[in-house]
Amino acid sequence: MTGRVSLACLALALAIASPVAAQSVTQVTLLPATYYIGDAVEARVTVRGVALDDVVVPETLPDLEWVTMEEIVALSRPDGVEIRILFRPYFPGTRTLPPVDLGSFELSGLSVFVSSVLEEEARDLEPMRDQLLLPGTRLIVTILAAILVLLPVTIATTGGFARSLVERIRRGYRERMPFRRMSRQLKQLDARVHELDGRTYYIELLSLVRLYLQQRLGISILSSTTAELPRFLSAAGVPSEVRERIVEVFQFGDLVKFASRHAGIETRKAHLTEIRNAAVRIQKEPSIGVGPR
Amino acid sequence: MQQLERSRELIQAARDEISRRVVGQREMIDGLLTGILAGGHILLEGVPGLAKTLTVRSLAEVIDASFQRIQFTPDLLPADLVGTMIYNQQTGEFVPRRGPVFTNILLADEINRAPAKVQSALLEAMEERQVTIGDTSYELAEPFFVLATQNPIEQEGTYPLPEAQLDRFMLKLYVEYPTPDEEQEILRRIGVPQEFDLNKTIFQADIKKLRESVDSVTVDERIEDYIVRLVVATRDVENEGMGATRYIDFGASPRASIFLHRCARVRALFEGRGYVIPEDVKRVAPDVLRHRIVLSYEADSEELDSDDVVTMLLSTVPVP
Repeated sequence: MTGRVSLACLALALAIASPVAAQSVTQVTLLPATYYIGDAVEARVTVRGVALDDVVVPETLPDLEWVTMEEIVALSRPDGVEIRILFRPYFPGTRTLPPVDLGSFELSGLSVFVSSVLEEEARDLEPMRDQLLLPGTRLIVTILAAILVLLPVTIATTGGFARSLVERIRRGYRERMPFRRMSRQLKQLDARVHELDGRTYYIELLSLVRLYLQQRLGISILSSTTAELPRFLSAAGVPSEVRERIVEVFQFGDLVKFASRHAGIETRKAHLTEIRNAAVRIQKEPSIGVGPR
Repeated sequence: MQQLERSRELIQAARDEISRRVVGQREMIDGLLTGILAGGHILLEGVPGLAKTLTVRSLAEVIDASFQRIQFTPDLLPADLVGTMIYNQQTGEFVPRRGPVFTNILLADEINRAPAKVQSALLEAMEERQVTIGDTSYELAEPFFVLATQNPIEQEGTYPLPEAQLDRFMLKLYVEYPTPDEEQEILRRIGVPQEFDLNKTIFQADIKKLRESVDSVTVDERIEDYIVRLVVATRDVENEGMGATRYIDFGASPRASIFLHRCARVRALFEGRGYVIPEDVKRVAPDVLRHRIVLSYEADSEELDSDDVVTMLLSTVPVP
């Protein structure tokens, strides 16, 4: 920065030293002292030996590639006039303002030093750049693009796991559904044990069990006879003690249904409990079952 | 209850007695006994050499009943079967000469080798239980029990029984090959000459009592409903929901329901039970239904036989 100030002083000295005929420039002040490309700068030049009436401000101001003169104003001072030139430089480095014809004299040789925020000097003008983006725009666009790219990849890599998870949940629900339904219906049947005769009771009880076993084990129990039951249950992986309990209830039920065997309330309740316990045992063993669920 | 137990013992004794001569073939023996007790005729189908004739002969020996065997051939005439009027030179009159059909147990060997008119004569006798010779109708013996056999191979020059006539047989039994163990036992028995008579275990009076026992077996209305649903399922060809019915062009007649009902009772009696359970119906269903359904082209194309279709039906219709 010190170097630039020195350069500015040097320019000022040169300007002072330049001849202006009978008039003489006594002082040149640039406001601001340090300015950059594009800044509006006011040069105040005090000229001694000239009356204000002698000064004619030109209608058309010089307009060069590197500088635009925007306004020239002449003010009266006790020892002469003060010429205020408002200009806007567009090129860095030391330049001489174009001569200005002020009627009785010409103001010329006024050098100025234009600073630049760039270190390099004498650079060419940059081409026009694109529109500026709002802060964060690039970040948002990047995130969106990443999502678009990564989403299919994420779905492809984790889709299998998600599907199996959903399938596990669905299967668990479906496995438990027949049990829940049967439990509910067994409770209702238990509540009606005194109202129903033995035959009707066992018809309902065994129908519930058949439906449960068919849905839970995926085997066609509905069309199986009591004699076929052990084979199907065994194939489905039902433990032998559970199997025997179920078959016993079915055998007794057949006697009640088809041979008019008497079934007391206690027996019915005991068989209902047997069935409930067997179902609980089957539910606890996820490996039991052979067919589609 | 005592009568049921006595009936079961009688049946078991007959089984055991026949088994002295016939190795294995338990299903065929049970089927034959079922036919006798249920009062129906039986069609036996099996390749030659499976002891069909031997079993029937043995059955006739065990039961106190007369037995006749006719080998059906293409030149057989109805008169050879039912009898004819012959001229008696001494009296100058035509007198009836009764044919082999006048017996208790008639074995019609290879029934499909005789022409249709002979088959019809026999089947008419089976249905009417009487035959007409000349101008007179004669009642057939009681019990009258026809066991017809046919060979599933060598179909050339045979006269397949029409469906309407097949329907008159209560059961159609498939005679299977013996198991390897049974075949070994057959070899052992052949090595030792076995010219012995079987003991008669079931007498005429026993047959009557056994049939009374069969009649005393109760059939719950839910079992009856199951029988009807099973038979109706064979006719429900318009309903595509039932998987098996698409393989059936024509289903079983009401005769199938009647015979299922009767045979299920006999099966219950075999077990010494006074009531029928669904198991009894399922056990006799293939024998009762297999010759009463006409399979569709779809079944042929999928190489399914009537037993496959009946099995499908049985696995579809819910039991009571």
